[in-house]
Amino acid sequence: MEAPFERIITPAERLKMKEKMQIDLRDITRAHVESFNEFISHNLPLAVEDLEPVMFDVNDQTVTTRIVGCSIGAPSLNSRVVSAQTDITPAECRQCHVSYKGNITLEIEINVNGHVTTVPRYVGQAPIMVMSDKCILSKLTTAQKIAKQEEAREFGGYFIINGNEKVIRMLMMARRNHPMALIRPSFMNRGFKYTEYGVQIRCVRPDETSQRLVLHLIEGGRCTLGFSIRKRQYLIPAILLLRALKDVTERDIYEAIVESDPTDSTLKEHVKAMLNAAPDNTYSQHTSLEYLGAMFRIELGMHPSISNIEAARHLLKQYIFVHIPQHDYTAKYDLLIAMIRRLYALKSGRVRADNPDSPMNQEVLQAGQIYGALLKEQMQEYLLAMKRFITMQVNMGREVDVGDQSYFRNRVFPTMPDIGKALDYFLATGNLKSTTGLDQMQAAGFAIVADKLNILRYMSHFRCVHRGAYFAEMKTTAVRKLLPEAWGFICPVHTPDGAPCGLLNHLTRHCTPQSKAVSPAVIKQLRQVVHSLGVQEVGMHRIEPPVLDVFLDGVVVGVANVKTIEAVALKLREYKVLGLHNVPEVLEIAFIPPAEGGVYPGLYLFTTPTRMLRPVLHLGTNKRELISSLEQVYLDIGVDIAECHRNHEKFGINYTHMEISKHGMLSVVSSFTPFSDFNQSPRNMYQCQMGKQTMGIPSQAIPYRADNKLYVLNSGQTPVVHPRAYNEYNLDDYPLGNNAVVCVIAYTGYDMEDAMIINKGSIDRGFMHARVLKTEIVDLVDRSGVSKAFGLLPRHRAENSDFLDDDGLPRVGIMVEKGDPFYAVVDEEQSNHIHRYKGEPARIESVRLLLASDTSTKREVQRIAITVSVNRNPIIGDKFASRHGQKGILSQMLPSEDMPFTESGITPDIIFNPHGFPSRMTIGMLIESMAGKAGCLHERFYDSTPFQFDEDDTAVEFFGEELRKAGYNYFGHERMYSGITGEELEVDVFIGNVFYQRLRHMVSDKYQVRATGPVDSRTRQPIKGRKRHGGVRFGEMERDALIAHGTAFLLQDRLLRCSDDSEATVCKSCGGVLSTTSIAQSAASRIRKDVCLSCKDSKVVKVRLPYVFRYLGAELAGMNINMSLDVSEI
Amino acid sequence: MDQQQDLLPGQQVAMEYICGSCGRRTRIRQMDSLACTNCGHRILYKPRTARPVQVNCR
Repeated sequence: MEAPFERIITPAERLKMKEKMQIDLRDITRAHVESFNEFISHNLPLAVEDLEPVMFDVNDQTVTTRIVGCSIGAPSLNSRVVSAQTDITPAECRQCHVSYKGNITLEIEINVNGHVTTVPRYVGQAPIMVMSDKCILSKLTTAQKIAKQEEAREFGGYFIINGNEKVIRMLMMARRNHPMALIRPSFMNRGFKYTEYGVQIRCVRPDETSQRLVLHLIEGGRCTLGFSIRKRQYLIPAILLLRALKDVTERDIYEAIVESDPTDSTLKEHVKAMLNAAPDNTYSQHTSLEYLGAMFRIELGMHPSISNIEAARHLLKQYIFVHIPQHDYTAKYDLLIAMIRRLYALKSGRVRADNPDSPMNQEVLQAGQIYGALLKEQMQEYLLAMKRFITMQVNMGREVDVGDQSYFRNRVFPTMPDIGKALDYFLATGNLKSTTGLDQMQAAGFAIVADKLNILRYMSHFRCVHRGAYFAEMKTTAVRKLLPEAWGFICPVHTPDGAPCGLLNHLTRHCTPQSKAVSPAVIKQLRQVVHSLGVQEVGMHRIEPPVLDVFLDGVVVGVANVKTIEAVALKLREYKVLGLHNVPEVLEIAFIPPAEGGVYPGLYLFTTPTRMLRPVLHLGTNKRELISSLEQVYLDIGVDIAECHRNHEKFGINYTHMEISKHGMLSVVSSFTPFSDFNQSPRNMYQCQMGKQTMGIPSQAIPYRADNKLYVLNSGQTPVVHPRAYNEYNLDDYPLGNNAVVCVIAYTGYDMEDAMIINKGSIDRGFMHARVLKTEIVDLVDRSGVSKAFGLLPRHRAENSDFLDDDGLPRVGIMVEKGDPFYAVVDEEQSNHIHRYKGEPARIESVRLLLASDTSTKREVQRIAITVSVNRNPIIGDKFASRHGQKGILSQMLPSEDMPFTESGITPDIIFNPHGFPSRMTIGMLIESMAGKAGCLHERFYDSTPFQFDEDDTAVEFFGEELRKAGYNYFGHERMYSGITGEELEVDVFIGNVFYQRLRHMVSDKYQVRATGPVDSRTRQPIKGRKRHGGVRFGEMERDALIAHGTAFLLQDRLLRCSDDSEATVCKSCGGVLSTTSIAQSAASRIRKDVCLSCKDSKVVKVRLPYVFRYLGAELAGMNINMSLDVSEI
Repeated sequence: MDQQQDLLPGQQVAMEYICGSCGRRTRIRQMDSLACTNCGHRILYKPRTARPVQVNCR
C-alpha cells in the first residue's frame, strides 16, 4: 500500500520528501534496456545455436558452413578511421551526428569434406543501446555520467543513429504460446470449403524469434495447419502431422480428441473425416515423415545427402510448435490435439472466440526481441550469401578453392553483405527489409526518433505501445476500443485523438513488460510442483469428464478436473507470493473456469517474457504480487479497503487482491495532470497531448547536444500545485512552465473564443521567455572527393571581419541576421565561398569542430556544427495552455496599468474568458486555481494527486477553508477594479494561481504573407508553401463565397489579376490561342503585328486569359484536340 | 591584410580552440588533424569572440 497522503507540503518538507519519494528514472526504459541486455546475454547465443548450417557442393567437395559464435564489441569508431582513440561516448555521437555502434564479429566454421576450420570475421558494426550492459554509461555513477557530458539521470533505452536518438517502438503482439480460437471470414479464402474457424498460436523460440501457426477447419471436419516459410504459405493436413509427431493408432487420436465431449455426435463425425484425410501411404510415423520430407525438402533447401526423414524432422524443428524443444515430439502432439479439440469446440459453439484485440490475449514486443530477430536473420543470410557467391563462381567457371583459407579471406568475405548496415538501416528508417518478414504484420514504422522537445514527450516515447501499422488502415474501430481488460496495464487517458487514437497506447506507470526469461531449470521444477499438487500426466489419467488441460508456457503439462485445478491455482499463487518451491514471481496463473459459451476453459501458466506485468497487493498474505493481463480477468481486485468491505457485504464478493494505488492506472504523462479526477475525461486526453508539446527545459546537457532544433524555456518554475508523481519523477530537473495569476473575466473583448490576454508587465519581467537553439551541421566531405577547407582568405577578411574569424567560422556570441556571412569555405582552386545566414535574427551560441562522418577517413576539420540561439519571447499569436486541456492564443499584451486589479493591488498575469468553462467542465482547473492561490498565500505546496477527495471530504471545502484561513474569500472570488476607468467591477471575480505551459506552436514559425512573389514556371500561378514564400490558397469554398456575394470584381481580382493573368492573342477566324504570334512587319521595322500562323490571317484580337488556360490548350494540342475560342463578338 | 595570400598548407591560420573534454586550449590549423593535443578528444569548441558584442535593448 502507498504511504498516506500529505495534502499540505511546506517547501522544507518537500525537499526532504522528494529525496525519499524519487523513483529511478531507469524504470521508464527498463523494458527497452533489459530486453536488449537479455538479447546480448541470453538470446544471441541461443540464436547462433539455432542457425541452420548451410551445405553445398563445390565440384566434388561438400562444404558445410555454420556460424558458431557472434559477439558484439564495445562501442567504437569505425575501424577505418585511424585515430588514437577508437572508443566513443554517446555524447560524442550525438554531437558529431554519427552512430553509437560496436563491432560484430562472427565465428564462421567452414567444413570441407570433414576438414574443419574456424575463422573470426568482422561483419560490420551493430548499433548499441544506450545504458545497456554494452554501453559505457551503464556502470557509471551520476557524477561520472555528468563528466561524460550526459544527463545526470540518463536512462537510455535508445540507439544513436547518425546523431538521432532512435527508439524501437513497442508493439502489441498476440500472446505467445497460447492457442487462440478465432473466427475470421478471411480464413475462408485459404482454400476450397475452408470455414471461418481457426485456432492460432504464435510460437516463440527460446531465442525470441517467432513462428505463427493457424489450424484451419474445412467443412466436414478436416483440419489443416497453416504456416509460412519465407513469406510463402503452406498447409499440412493435421492428421499427417499427428502421425509424423507420434507413432499412434487412429483409435488413439480419435479418443484423445473425442474425450473432451463424448456425447457430441457431430464431433465424432468430424474426427472421423479428419482421420480419413491423410494422404495415401502415410499410415505410420515413418511413412508420414518420409512423405513430409519429400514434400518440403526443396523448399527447405536440403542438401541431397540429407534423407527425407531428416528433412521432415528439420521441418518439425524449425516451423512446427517451435517453442517446444525439438525432440519433444509428444509435447507437440499433445498441443496439436488440444488445438484440434479447441477448434471443434469453437465450431460447435460450446466456447466463444477469443478477442485478439484484448490485452488479455496480448503481450508487448520489445526492442531486444525485434533487434535480435533481425540480427539472427542477417546471420543466416550471411551463410546463404556465401553459398550463393561460391556456387555462382563455380558456375561461371572461376577458380574456386574452398580448401584454401586465403580463398575465403581474399575472395569470399570481402563480397559478403555488411550486417551492421542492415541493422543501421532498420533503425535509421524504421523499415524492415527481411526475407522471412520476421513474423511481423508490417514492414515499416518500427523505429521512431525520440524527440527531446521536453521531458514528457521524451519519456512517453519509451512508454508507448503501438497496436501495429496494419490496424491503422482498418476501417473498423473494434481494435481501437478501450477494453476493461486493459485496466492497470494500459492508460485509459493517454492516447492521441485523431488517426492513431486507440492504436497508440501508453503503458501505465507501474506496468513493466517482463524482459528476462525464466531459466529452464526453474520451469522444470515448476512442472514438478504442478504435478505434485494433483495434476496428472496426459494420457495416463483416470479422471471423469469434463477434463481440463493444464498449460505451462504453451505446453500441455497435464490434465485434471475443475476442482483439482481450482485448488492447484490457489496453491500455486500462494507459493508464488511467498516465494516457496522456487516458483518464480513472474508466474502467471490464469484459471479459466468452464462456462457454457465462454472462453475455452483450462489452467494457463505462463513464465514467458514480454508479458505485461503490474504489481497488486495480495490480500491473503499482504504481499506484493506481480500479475499479468490474462490472469487479471479472473481475479477479484478491489480498488481500496472500503470498496472491498462494501462489496463483500453487499454482493458477497471475496476480494483476493487490492490495487496498490488508485492513480496507478494512469500513464507517466497523465499522472502529471493535477486534479484530473475533476475534469471531463477528454480534457485530460488533450492535456496529455499538450503536455508533450510544451516548451520546457528538455535536457540538462544542452551544450553537449546538436539537435536540429531545441526549444528551451528560459525560466521554468515548479508548479505550486502538483501531484505526487511530479516529485516522484523529480520534474524540477526539467521544468515545464510558469505559475500565473489567472483571473476569470471577460475584459476588453480580446479574450473571446479561447484567446487570452497576458499582462505586458509580466512578459517584460520574463514570463514564459524562451529561445530556440538551431544547429546546422556543415560537412565538407563530398563523394566526388574534392577537398575543401574552412577558411577566410586574406583578401576577404576586411569586409567580413565583423562576422567571421580568419578560420572562416563565425565569431561566437555575435548577432547575425539574414544575409550576414555565416561561414566561409576555400576550395581546391583557392577561391573563397562565403555562405550566408538564412533565417531569423539570432545569436551565435556555439561553434564546434567535429569528428568527420563515420564513412570518411579524413582527420582534419571537415565537419562543424554552428548553433544559433533564436529569441522567442511571447508575442501575440503564441499558444499557451493550462494543464487541463485549456489552450488559448495570446491576443493582447495588455499594459499592467490597464489590467484589472484587486483590492490588494494584484494584477493578473493572464485573463481567461469565463466562457471557457461551462462546456468544457474542467473543474480541475478551478480547484487548481484555488489551491494555487492558497499555496501562494500560505507559502506552501499542495498535493494534487487525483482521487484524494470524495463526496464527504470535498476539494472545494478543503481549499475554501485554506483560503478563508488566509483571510480571503472562501470560493476564491475577489472584488476587482477596472484598470482603464478605475471603477469597481460589479461582479466578484474568480482569481487564483494556475500553472501555465507555453506550447511550441509559435506565430514566428507559422505566419505567411506575400504581396507578389515566386510563381510556378509552368502555370505562372503563385506557388504554395511558407518556406518558399508562397501564397495562401484561395480555394473553391472561398470562391463560392464571393460568387454568393455577387462581388464579381473581387472574384476576378483574386483569381485572375493576383494569379496568372496574361494577355493572349486569339485568331478571329480559327479561334486558336496557340497559333497566334507576333511578327515584325519587315526585317528593319520595329512595328510588330499579331497574326495567326495557321490561317495566315491578321484578324487577331487581344484578350486577357489565365496563363494556365493557355497551358491547357497546349496540353490538349498534345493529345490532338483542338481548342478554339469564339471571339467573333469582340 | 590586403596581400593576396592563398590558403596553402603551411600558410594556414592557426586558431585557438577549447577542448570539449579537458577544457584546455589547443592551437589548430585548418589542415591539422582534429584532436585535442592534451587528451585526444575529437570535439573542439570555438571560444567566445574577444570583440565587444553590443545588443540594442528595446
